[in-house]
Amino acid sequence: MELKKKAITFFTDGAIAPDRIAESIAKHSTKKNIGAHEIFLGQVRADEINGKVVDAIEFSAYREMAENVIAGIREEIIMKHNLVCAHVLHSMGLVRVGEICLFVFVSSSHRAAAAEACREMVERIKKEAPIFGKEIFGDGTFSWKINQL
Amino acid sequence: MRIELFGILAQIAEQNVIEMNAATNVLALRELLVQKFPGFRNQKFRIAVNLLLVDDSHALNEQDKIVLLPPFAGG
Repeated sequence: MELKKKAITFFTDGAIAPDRIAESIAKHSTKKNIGAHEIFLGQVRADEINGKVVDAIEFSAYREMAENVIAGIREEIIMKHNLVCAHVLHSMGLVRVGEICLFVFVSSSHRAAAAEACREMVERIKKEAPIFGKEIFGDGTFSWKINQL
Repeated sequence: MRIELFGILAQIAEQNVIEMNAATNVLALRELLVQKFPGFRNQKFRIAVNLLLVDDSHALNEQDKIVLLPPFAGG
């Protein structure tokens, strides 16, 4: 019988639930060569723009390219820092203020590599992945978010 | 040539996919685009061809998968 290979994606619909992050941490207890985890969580902030406060961000992406870009970044960083493993999850669609929209989780034998790799992964995803964000205000109007790099 | 748009560019063009006359390279395409959509003139955008970002001198073919990308906002 041929097994269907599940397509790997770095995207999930809506906010990233804290339970999902906890489950991901728990799964790593079997990997005995890990000595340090580093986790980044991006949260939607109630920015004020021209007197209006952001209520939510609606994410979209050029999915096919974004998946390739993130896969490439992940592979490069795993090799560069000799990581045990690395995981990336980014929201698509609507994420409200206070909810998590990006989860980066890297694991290494030692803390220095984990910390540096995590930071590098976040910076590169923000800079290189074709992801777009519509900042939606309380009154229903919106503006397009641009990352400050 | 068929071109896909995202974000604010799709909003300005009021469509996600547009059909344009053939352009020999990316710079020529940019000129055609701002003629057709004057609102693009004030927008910074990059162009992906066959899933890779390219610069203005990149030559285009009719079969290329061309996508216009406004500034990124992930994370």
